[in-house]
Amino acid sequence: MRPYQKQYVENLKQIAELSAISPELPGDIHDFIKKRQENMTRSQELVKENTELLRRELMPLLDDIVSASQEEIADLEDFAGHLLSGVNQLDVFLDYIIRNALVTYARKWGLRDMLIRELYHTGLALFYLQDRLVAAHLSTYRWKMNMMFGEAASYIKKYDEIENVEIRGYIHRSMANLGLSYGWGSEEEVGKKMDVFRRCLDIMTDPVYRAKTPSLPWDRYVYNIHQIRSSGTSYLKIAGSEADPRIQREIMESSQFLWEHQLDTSREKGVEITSRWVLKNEVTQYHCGIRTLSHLLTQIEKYYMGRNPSDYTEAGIENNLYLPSLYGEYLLTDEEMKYKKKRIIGYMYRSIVKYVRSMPGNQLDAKMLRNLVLVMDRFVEYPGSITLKDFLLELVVCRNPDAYVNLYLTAEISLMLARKALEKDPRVFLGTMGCGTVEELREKKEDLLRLVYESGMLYDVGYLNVSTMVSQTGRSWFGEERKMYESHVNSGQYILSKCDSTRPYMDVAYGHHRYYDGKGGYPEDYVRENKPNQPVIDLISVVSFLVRNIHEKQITIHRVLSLEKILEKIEEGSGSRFSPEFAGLLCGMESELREYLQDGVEKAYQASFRLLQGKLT
Amino acid sequence: MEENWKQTEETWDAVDLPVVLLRAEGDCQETYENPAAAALRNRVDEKADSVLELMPEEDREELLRQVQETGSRQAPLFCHIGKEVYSVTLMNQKECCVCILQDASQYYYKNKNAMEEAQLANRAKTNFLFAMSHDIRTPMNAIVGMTSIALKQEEIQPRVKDCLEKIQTASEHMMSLLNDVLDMSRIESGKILLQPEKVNLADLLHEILIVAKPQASSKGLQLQVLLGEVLQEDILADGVRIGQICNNLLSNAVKFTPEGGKVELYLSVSHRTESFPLENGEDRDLILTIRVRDTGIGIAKEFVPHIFQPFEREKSVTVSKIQGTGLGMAITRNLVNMMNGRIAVDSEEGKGTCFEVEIPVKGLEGNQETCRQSLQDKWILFLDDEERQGSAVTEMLRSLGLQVEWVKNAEETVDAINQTIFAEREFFAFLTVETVKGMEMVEFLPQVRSRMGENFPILMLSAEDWTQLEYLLSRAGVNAYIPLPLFKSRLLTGLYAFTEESRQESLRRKSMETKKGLIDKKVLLVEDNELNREIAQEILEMAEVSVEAAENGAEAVEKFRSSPSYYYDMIFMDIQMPVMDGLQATRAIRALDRGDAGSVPIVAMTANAFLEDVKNSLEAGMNGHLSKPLDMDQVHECMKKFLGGEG
Repeated sequence: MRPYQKQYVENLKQIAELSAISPELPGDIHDFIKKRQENMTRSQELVKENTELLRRELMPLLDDIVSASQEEIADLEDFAGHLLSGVNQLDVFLDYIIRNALVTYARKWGLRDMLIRELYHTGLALFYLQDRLVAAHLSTYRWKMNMMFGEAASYIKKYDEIENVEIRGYIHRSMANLGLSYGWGSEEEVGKKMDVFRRCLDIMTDPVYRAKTPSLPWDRYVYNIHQIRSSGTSYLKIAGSEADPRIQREIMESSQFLWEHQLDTSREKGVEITSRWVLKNEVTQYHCGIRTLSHLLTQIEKYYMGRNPSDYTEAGIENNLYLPSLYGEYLLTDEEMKYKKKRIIGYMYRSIVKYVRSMPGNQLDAKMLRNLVLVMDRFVEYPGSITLKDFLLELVVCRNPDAYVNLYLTAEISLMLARKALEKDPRVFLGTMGCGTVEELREKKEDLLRLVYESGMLYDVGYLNVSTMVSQTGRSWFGEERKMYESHVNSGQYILSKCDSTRPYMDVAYGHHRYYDGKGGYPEDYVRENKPNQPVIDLISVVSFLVRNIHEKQITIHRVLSLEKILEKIEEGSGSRFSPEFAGLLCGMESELREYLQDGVEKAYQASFRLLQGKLT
Repeated sequence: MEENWKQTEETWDAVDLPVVLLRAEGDCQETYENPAAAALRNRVDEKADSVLELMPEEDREELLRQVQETGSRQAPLFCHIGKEVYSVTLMNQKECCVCILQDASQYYYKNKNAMEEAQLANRAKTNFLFAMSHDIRTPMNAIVGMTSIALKQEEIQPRVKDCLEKIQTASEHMMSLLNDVLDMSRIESGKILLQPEKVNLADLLHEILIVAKPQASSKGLQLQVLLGEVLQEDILADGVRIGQICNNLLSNAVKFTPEGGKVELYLSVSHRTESFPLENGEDRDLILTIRVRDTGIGIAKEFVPHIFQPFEREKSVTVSKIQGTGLGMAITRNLVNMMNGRIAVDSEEGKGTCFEVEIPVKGLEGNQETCRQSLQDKWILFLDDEERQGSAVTEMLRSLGLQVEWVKNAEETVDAINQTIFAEREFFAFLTVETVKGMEMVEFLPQVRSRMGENFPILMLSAEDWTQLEYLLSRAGVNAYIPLPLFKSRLLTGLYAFTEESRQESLRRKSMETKKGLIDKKVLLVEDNELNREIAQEILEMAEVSVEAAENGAEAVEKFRSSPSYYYDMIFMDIQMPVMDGLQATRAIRALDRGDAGSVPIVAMTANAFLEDVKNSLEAGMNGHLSKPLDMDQVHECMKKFLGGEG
């Protein structure tokens, strides 16, 4: 690597360290905020430096990549390799940009082997970019990724001309990766996915190919394909008895392959096979009609009851959180079971609350958050029982304290503004919760205030899906990254649309960045008309703008402004970006806001840490 | 029954006016005449058997036609008998028709004179309007032209610009009024004669849209073009007049449709139906249907019968100050009548109007068999997310013998391309519409281009003006454009242009054109590498020039020096050569003291295509530069440039 490349990578690592919140909860909140401020200052210096490095050194080279020297190209490949290497994703987007340029270079100079390799790496970068959008149900990068893998795979037709073993490996891997772009959601996609894997397996098990390139890790390739194919049970779950028998058979074959492989491995190591593998096998057997749903649920119950409720190791987290999420997933598919097993899933959720709140010390474990998101995604809600809303408010959002502070401030200030509006001009809320008159609004005042507060707490829940991407970006953003960030409104809406308790908040999650006059902001397809609680969305929209300029939830981005300046901007945007009624009222609350913000941020952090310590606010 | 007859006859016997009874059915034979009728017959021609025989044939036929007509009769009927003119009153009874004749000679001749006078006056008016319009049009042309020139001047003061723009608008309107008056005058005076010729429907539509699109878009209207069944794209008809009909209907629709509305143009060429049968001896076997539908203000029910009358304008139209002469529809109807066609209107006030024109035309066979054969069974990857259009284009491609894979988004397109990894199938071309929901074409197309290679044809279907899109889209990888709505002939020729046969054809044509101007030219080829020399010589000789070769720069200078002046017409010079390199040799030739030393074109041939090499060769006195390996097209283009030749 060139010195600037080394420096860039080094800076990225530093930024990652600075943005990571210590897993241990802080003792003194003032020290914590002071330290965070120092980290923010340093991070922003590094971001600036990195941006300059790229602008000065990398961009001129990429602008005229075809004239680059061989040494420059070799260094670029090395640099890109450091930005994205397996699960180590230091800067995926920059990796994609560099790989794309390398593809151009290879094409220009007719460097076939390099072209195949770079097509593969570009496809891989696109895969990781696409992966970030899955939660938002967007497929922005899918076609491009398929184009890259497809072109690399098409060299199978010139296999014998390619002597380099590594490049032959890229061809096989690209071909298999073509299957990654298809989901398990529709019969059509699954058909294509299985088609790709079938053809790959045909080639990978073909003695002729194996003899041509004996040094390739053929068995690992085959194992990987069976592993992906076996996750087709999610398709079988959706398709039920309508599932294509051929696909069903192939998924079963792959599951059997993996099961036997795991049995052999366990036997060799002399250890018991883990519950995850046993249940994976049970799931396949159920979907292939060998076992009943009742049997599968009983098996999950059996393993759940055998868990250690104080085990916070990786396996412990899996048993305590993953098993209820799996259980929930199957209850959601069967109405009868959903009601038969109400008490059991209720018990599981109560145990999760207890488990999470009792976690000693290390409250901000990434695996814990990931598994909680999984439970949330498959949440089963019953009237009168624990709801997804409570689950989100009390267990999940606090696990990113910086983001929680923004939610908390938004909820509190929104409440202040709503009270002010009800006192000065309650008509601004007409239409909310179906209230057609001021009298009705007064009657439902408490419900309205609760709706406003909880909207403030939940409107940005989709941020959970982009927070990693934001923290990893140690330089100025590219336009496409901005778009990717904007997808948080899609994922927020999706999460909140799942249960009755959260559905009233899905519009605020989707529409809080869209301008009042519909001429700016995002998403473009958000339509104000017929939104039952539009006044609340307008209120949250203006308050969240205020809050994100007061406290930046991501330390690499500096946007903090003075209250005076923020209110000036709100006034400017009144009638276009913001509802004139709420903008006017908020601007008239300057002294109250100033007073509240003296210790507002501090209180918000305290609230987050209290929740992490298991104390309800 | 006979009793009834008798009673009737007795009644009419007593009447002083001539009365005859005719059978109401069949041959309308006269069954009775009263004494007054008999007296009239005897007075005019006693040999005649009936009063009807005394009438000229025209009058008799009209009388009998009206006798057979059972509905109400509107026009008064006059029949000539001898020198007199009788007004005939017809009364239908059960089985007969009573004809009462009354002398109306005095009234008839008086009015006939007035009518002829009116017709004369009308003709004079028409001639006057024609002459006046024609005379006014000449200076109007000057006003329009000079205004346009004045508007193009830089630094016009805003006030002056505003005035000029208003003059432009007003004078353009006045021109259109004059044109209408002129057309109407021409039609009335019989000066318009139809000129049937071969008309290509696609070309015709293109011409129509050139006028209609800007009109619609400047008014914020959506103009949609729909194509029905097109049995023949080439027809025998008066294309200019059909275009005029379409433009009149369209400009009318645009005029009366408020902003944000929609105007739809439908065209089809179909078989004649029972409602419009082919008459004996007629060869116009097809019907061209033109339908223009709008969502405009519509026409009041009571005004519909007057819509095609000259100078008639609905009150609401004049009130709303929509400009016009009231001649457009009259001209249209007259043109349609001249073509033996039909025009109908259907309108609802406040909802819109639909005009439908049917014109009988003769279909002409196209000649595109070669194109079809070349494209037979080739695979086309076709991208369109719009169901109706996509399905129609797919069907059209299949009807041309092509195989189609229709995809609807980027992912499906890439999937289809990726399928070729496993299958033997190869796509011949990628045909795409201009916009697909959720896709950024300028990002997507370059990826397809990179993937499929430089020579893979990418064609775009678009209803937009290609000249506006060409810069961007050709850089995005699009090779050609096929206009929408889609005609088979355009699709076929668009695709055929990328076949090997077409490429060969164009090479042959190009080669012929090049050869025409290059025969007998003498070229000196300077190249040290024997193999390269042989290849270059072969390429040059294909253009039928006479080639002499030198193995290095020194030999080339010597050959040039020892040849008569103007012996060589051109020199192709390698740069790196032993003994003397190309740059030195060029300097030496340019330094020679002879007439052609400075003028003979010297073109460098080198693999070093960096900018500084080109600069060096030009500084040495060379005129151009060709990159190695030599490309036949490039060499021929180069020779054409320096030695002339057609093309």
